[in-house]
Amino acid sequence: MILPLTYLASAEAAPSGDLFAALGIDWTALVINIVAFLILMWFLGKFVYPPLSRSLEKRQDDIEAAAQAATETRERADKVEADVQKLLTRARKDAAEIMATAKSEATELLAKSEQRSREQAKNLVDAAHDDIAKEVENARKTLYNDAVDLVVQATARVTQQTVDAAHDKKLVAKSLEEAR
Amino acid sequence: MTGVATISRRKLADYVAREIEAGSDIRQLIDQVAAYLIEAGRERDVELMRRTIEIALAHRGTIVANVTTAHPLSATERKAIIAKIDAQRVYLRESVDPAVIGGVRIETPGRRFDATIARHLSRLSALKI
Repeated sequence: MILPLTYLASAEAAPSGDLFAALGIDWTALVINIVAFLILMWFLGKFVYPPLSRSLEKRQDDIEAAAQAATETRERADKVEADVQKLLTRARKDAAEIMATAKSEATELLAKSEQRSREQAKNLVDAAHDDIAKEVENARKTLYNDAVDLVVQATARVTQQTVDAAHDKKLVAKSLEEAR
Repeated sequence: MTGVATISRRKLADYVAREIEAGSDIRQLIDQVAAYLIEAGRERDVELMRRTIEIALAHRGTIVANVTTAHPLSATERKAIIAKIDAQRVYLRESVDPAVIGGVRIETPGRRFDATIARHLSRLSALKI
């Protein structure tokens, strides 16, 4: 619609002869064009720009919301990652402490076990030594007693054979003499 | 119930010792005591009675000594033993026991002298541990 109006203005301006005409400006066409332009502007401002603006604003809002959401998500992710790092650090520390404690307890347990084993071995050896000593002592006593028995029996046999009446009289006399 | 009055062992022993000291017949006294013990049902007390009588005699100066040897005693040995037992009157109850091997054992109430070879061997045997 604008193109035909402009064409009409240029076609009718030439015969007027004033400055605007010399410049090729047709007032009527200009006004019409201005009015048409204003009408176009009004039309656009009334029916095209608002939905377009709203759409753009909505789009802007969506983008901003998405950006905000992305930022928040990133922040949450960063926070979660930080928490995870903290948890990992704490878990590593706890694990290290548990390992150290377990190692210490294992070492202590091993030392105690070794000590106990050593004591048991020593007790066994001591008991064996005691048993051996007792057996040796018993054997010594048995040998001594057997020797005493042998001496007594041998002496009894020898004296029964050697002490006759004459010897016995001397023995009795000597005994009575010593008893005085 | 035997119907016989109970006399204490000590009283009976004192009586016998007194009678022996007075010169009564010893065999007759022994028969009386034996009869009493049988009648009183105290036959088991014979050995104890004998010892009690010997103790009672010892208190009155009469010692009954049990002498054990491996061979019979000679008169000299008897004299020596009696001399060794320092008492007014001494009676020897001799017994020959080859088990003593040699030497002499004299037992009186309250005393015992053992110089036998068997005793020496016994002491040697007692050294056992």
